[in-house]
Amino acid sequence: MEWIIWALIVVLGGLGLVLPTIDYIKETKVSPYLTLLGTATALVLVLLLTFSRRSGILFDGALRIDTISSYLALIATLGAFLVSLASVTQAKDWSTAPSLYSLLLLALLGVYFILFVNDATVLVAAWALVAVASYVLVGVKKDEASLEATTKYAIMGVASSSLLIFGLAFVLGVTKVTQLVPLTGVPDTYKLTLILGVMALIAAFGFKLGVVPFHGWLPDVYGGAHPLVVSYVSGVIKLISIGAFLRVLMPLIPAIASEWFLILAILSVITMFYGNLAALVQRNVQRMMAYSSIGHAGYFLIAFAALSFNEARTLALQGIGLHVTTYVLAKVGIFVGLAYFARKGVELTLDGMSGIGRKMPLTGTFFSLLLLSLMGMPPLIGFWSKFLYIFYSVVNVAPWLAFLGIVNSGISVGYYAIVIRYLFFAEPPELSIEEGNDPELIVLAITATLGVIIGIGFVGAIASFLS
Amino acid sequence: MVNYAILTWLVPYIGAVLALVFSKLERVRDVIAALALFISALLSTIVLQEVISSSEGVIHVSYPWISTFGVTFGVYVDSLAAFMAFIVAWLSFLIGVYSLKYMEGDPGLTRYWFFFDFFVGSMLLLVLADNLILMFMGWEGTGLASYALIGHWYTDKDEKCVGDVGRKALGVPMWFSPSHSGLRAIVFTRLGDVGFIAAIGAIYYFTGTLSIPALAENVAGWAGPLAKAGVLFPFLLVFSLGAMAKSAQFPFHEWLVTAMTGPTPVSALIHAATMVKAGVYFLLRFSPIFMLAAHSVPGAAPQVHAYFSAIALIGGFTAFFMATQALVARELKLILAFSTASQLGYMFLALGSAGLIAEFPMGFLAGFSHLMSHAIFKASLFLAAGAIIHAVESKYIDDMGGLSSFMKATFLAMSIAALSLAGVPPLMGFWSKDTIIEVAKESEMFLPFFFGVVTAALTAFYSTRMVVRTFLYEKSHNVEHLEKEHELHEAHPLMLVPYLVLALISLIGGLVWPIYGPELLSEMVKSVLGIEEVFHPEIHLDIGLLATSLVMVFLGIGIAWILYQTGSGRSAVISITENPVGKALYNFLYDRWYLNSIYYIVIVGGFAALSRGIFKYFDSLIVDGFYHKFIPWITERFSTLGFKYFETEVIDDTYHDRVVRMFKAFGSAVRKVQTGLVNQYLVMFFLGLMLILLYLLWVG
Repeated sequence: MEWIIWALIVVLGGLGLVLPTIDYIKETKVSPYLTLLGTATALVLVLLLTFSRRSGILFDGALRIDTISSYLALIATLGAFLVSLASVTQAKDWSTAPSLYSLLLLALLGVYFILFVNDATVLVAAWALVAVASYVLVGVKKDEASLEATTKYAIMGVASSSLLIFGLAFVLGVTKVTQLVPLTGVPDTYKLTLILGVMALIAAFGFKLGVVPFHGWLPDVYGGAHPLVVSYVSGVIKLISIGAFLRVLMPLIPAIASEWFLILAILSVITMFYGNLAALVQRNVQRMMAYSSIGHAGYFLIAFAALSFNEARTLALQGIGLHVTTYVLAKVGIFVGLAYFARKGVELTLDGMSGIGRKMPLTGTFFSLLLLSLMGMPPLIGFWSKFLYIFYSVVNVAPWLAFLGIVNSGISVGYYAIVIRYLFFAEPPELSIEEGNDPELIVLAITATLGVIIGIGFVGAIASFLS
Repeated sequence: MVNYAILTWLVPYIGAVLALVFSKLERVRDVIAALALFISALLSTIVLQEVISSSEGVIHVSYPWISTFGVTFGVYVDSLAAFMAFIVAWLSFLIGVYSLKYMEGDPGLTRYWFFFDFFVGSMLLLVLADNLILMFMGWEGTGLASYALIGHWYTDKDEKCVGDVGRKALGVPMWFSPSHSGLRAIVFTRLGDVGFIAAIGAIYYFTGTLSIPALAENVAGWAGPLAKAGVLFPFLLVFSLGAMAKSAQFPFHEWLVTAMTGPTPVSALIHAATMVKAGVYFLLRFSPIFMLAAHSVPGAAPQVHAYFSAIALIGGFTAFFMATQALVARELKLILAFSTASQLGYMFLALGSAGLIAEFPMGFLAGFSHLMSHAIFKASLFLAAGAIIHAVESKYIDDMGGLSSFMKATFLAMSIAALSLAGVPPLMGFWSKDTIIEVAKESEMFLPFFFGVVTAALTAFYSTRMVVRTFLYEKSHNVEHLEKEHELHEAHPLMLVPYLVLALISLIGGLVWPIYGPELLSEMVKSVLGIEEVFHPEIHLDIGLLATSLVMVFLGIGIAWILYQTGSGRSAVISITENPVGKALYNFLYDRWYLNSIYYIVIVGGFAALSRGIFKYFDSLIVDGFYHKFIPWITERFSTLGFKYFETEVIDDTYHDRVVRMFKAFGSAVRKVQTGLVNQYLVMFFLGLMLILLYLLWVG
């Protein structure tokens, strides 16, 4: 199985390093296509990895593979593939395009390492790779909004990365090994140290996930940077925080179960309410979707909180896997859709977008399906992952948390429905119409269709695959 | 064997998809969509036949779907579901036929047919589903489709709005565009759905299953612990929130009123057979199970009793409250809309009272039969209203009058249906409403019973007023004008036949009710989930009660007739509305008891303020103030220190000067962008961390 990882390193790392040299020096424009090829190859490799259903330790304990991590890697790769597909028309003409593609590939490689991480040193290295790549990605468009976003992102990122090191130091001080092994109990004298370390790590990972109060950068980056880049940052790179939660923090939970639940539950409530309420007042759809991401970070935290109970763990893990699917499909699709609208000259505010669903019916329909999936409309995948898996995972152990989640889901209808209303219930504007072979439209079609098909037929299968 | 019950709800969905496929072939698309409704109606008849003729009276088929939660893909058809599906499917088909003509030439027909069939499929799914999740899917599907259909005329032209353009109450606009109304429908009903899905979660928690029949079999499993904890009453209310919202019961009634912005067949569909009846169906489906809990779970009885009292009270009040608003409404469809909510209130009253009387099935049947008779006469009324509005090109009854000579058949249909609504014997509406009042009396709750009786008079009044103002009143200028142009004529047969047929069913059904009614009722209650005792319905008339209700009905009709059909009455109406007290009362009723305005000011305004407050709090707490200056300042300090100790030529102005300037410039640049500030975010980041740490130290 190591050969698959080697192959991924060669394909993604090799291409990532070589691409800029080709395009910048020879002044060609082959990088979009090579990236597409690279991510497609990676998709095949990860598919092989996932469906071999093997798990085990690789590279002398540096990496470890199991079903859920390879499934998350599959989703990440799918996201990366779709973003590179959309970028063919979007980013081809940026002066910095080769760098964009190079970073895209390198960051994806980093994401794999974090998803499969089994050793704290690998975590630090991979985290740095992804983090730095994502700061540059956000600014690669080089316009004012992107630069502002990237500055904020980087400064906040430095703070979070230092917390990562800080937290790891504490935690490793308690576990005494660099490998991320399960910890069943610690002497009372070490407990506070461990909690301190875990807290720092929650902050560091929560920063990437958009957990309030570590979310400050998120609305500016998701709301200000180019939507195409955002689709990658929110759809693919975000998975590192979920992977890190699962790999670094989950083994520590048994030692601090009750504190863990309280911290995570409180953070999830704050995060959900903040994200959903703030999204209600947005007029800019891209910013609204940024706040919706914060709301969804809150839902993920519910599942993480549930991990501290044995009886809830299976459901919570299935919920995380499924909701990642919902989330990646929807966010990649929605931000690519926004990029598409922007390319067609649409202003990304509610008023600017009013009526375009009539001018671009396919795009509008797929876009709405993705919004409905995030809203949790049955039978789309979002309904299952959010209500049945994530919320119901805590129904047995903390019904109040499930209830607050449902209430939040109710609040979120307010803004998702408003976007759909503006898309369709208005006079269409004068602008060019969609074309069937636009790559963005294809991405929207793929994401929306997957959301429907998985929702109708494959939720159960995926869930049993993950358990 | 193919399962007809599954096909019954599946076929309309297929029709919806085919409508999309054939969007270019216009006539083919329309016919296919209507044909799907027809097939579904036939299938529902076969299913009903099967249920009636089979000995145990239940069809239950299910296939595993999502094993984790025991969610199955299946149908559970008892006599309740079979009759309900039968009514829904046939009414939808008739309304579909009417749409073929009424919507002819509309540019958005593909969308219309797609959502129409989708709507019907969803309604049938929720009726036939054998588990809560599948039912919830149908439930949400109707919500989504109604959202699209109510907002069908998305261009928001003034004449498509509901309410008087320009009118305000307490400063809140009282007219609603189609897109706004659609949004109201989905938001109002979603509010209730939060309760529904939360309760489904609780049921899953207690029983580990989501199957509806299992809910009845294992009633002690979920009701036991809830009753023991003393929260069964609030739980049942939360569970029914979705039903109250869907059936537009107070305080969720507002969305239904403005849902009039949809095309008329859509109003008929929403009001007669689907959507609003989903809430009543919910009660019909689950109230027998609640009764089962009261009988078999120790300690549950008083709480279930409280729940049924609450439902009776809500229903009775809604019936009265909405009927008062119908008294003064000026838009034809709006009168009907208020009337629907009021009649739904009657059904809630019936089901609430059912739980309080000795013979639960009697109340159950009162609600169920009123649902049926209302579905029939209300569909007829709406479709006729559509034809009239189409003919006079105005939605206001002020622009009608004297139409009886031009639209004789419509006049006949509407009169029969209105008399049925008013509860005049021997029409169907009379029988079903009278049973409700009887049940309400037996429940020995004074207030709901009182509301029920008074509403009978109000209903008779507004029904008469509606028919008189439309057909018999002196011709308005608009009608005179149209008469001169020779534009007034009877509706097209495709439109006329459906509502005429429905009106006649209402009449004939009423005539034969004393003979066949008991038999029909006993079939309806034959195998309802949760009702175990055998019940033999019979029609018995309580003379005192009958007299009371008839006096009420004829009082209402008489007053309306005098006021609107005699000269002195008309002048009395004018003097009443000009009198200050009369005018205030009129405005109070016309502006819907000011509740809409209060909702907007308190709830919508409050939510917006909360959202903005949260936003502002994070933004202005520290921005521009201390921390905005703090970080540049500290950088300056540090760089001065650096300057002092590591003074070199390179560092000199780069480090000392530029970094400080960069931070300052950065700060003022961002201030312009009106977004938050990174240093503030950092502070939040660390403050948040510290707060949690402090908390932990305090706890641990």
